[in-house]
Amino acid sequence: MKKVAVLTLQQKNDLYNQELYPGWGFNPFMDNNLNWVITEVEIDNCTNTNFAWVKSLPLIDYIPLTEYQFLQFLNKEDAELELQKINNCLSNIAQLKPYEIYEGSLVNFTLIGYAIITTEEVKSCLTPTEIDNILTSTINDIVINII
Amino acid sequence: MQLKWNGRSYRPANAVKVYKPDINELMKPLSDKSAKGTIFMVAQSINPQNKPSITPSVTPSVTPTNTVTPTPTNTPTPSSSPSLDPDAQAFITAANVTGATEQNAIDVLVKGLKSDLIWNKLYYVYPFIGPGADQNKYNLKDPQDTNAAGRLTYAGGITHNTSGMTGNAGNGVANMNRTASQVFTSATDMHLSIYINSDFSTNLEEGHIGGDVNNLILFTQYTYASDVDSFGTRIGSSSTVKLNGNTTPEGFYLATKNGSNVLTYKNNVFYHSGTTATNTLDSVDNILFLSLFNPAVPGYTSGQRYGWISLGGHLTTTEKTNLYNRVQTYQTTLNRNI
Repeated sequence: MKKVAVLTLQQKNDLYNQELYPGWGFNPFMDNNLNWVITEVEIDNCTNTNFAWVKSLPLIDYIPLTEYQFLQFLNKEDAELELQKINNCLSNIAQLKPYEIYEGSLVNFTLIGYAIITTEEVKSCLTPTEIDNILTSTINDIVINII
Repeated sequence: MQLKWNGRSYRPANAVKVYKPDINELMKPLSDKSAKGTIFMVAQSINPQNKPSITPSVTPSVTPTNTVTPTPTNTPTPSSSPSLDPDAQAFITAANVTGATEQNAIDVLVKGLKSDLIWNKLYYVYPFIGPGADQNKYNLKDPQDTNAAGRLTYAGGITHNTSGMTGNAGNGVANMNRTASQVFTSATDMHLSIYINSDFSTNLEEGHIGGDVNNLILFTQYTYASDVDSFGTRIGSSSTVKLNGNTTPEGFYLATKNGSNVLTYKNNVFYHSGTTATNTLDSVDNILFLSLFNPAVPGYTSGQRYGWISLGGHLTTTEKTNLYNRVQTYQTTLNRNI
């Protein structure tokens, strides 16, 4: 079983696009519980002293993400407005970004809108109506792409 | 002749005593020779050693026009083992390949590809010699540590060792730092190849070349809806040439495009063919290995190990066979063949 370390939102933002080794960047991603995680491989190869703290993170078994919960928006501006509200609610530590969502298979994509992945932290900032609008999809139904 | 001063013979301080040859004296028997004919000469006049003390202030305006360069006619040939191919040597130096077996594998590979006249059809080559990320990042065709040379940069969980470069079917992605328009010269003259030497039991087993999902992808074992274990490609086109039924991940996968005709092969055996319209080569998205997207998206990354990747021009039937044989020999030398 592959091992990963769970990150807080702040830690995820701190590591994003930073090098663990010259020419090798951290790449936080979500596990099946919508935790932001990095892999044991990244931790083992980290020589960047600015991020030596990753070596003390506890490891858990990696369960691949198979299902998303997300709010869907038809245009990017609406998604960004909602994200602004959520980021304010989370004291701007999340710095969440909208995702493009595509429908279809690997060989036949169609852009169907924009998404905000609804982690537990995000849900705490949503109204009851917004929570009712959360959609669930397996990774075979949609493809998400960070933009 | 004697030099005289005030009627007396003298010898100049800067003069040496020399012998004035006399032909008659030279012809005499040694016993009859006399010590006649001695003269003094100013030493500087017979053996000038001093350089002129005055440097000409005028620079000669005449430029030599002689362009003939002497060429040695005899080139020494080392008597020891044959030298490494220069391109192999450049890669070995850049990637710091120290093992004799590994150096030999690279050298034999390069010489073989050149002998087969395939070398110039390979634009970017990643032999994943290992054992680390630093060795695996270099493009054999231009082993410089720059993005312009196609040096790989990594993100996420990727494992490197002497068997190749392995993704984690999660967030691992290797970025070529080159777009399709920077790699290929034409969207009608292309090939992609991957050597996968693993059969890891992950839940997501596709091998990937990605980045530009609309025009340049290669997947080796994709499953979704009606696509079951599908090996296929988009190569210079938004249309896909694919066929189900590739149930084992390991193999040498090749897609080659000539005009609008696309052929795919696995282990040098014909797999599928199709005709696709041609799109403009993408100049925005960098080409990726192990992942379809950057940042990687779970579900669209590979958990397999790559022992070779090449991108280049269209290969003929003979050329694709020769390439397969050279790559297979390379992998066998490194004891990581399938």
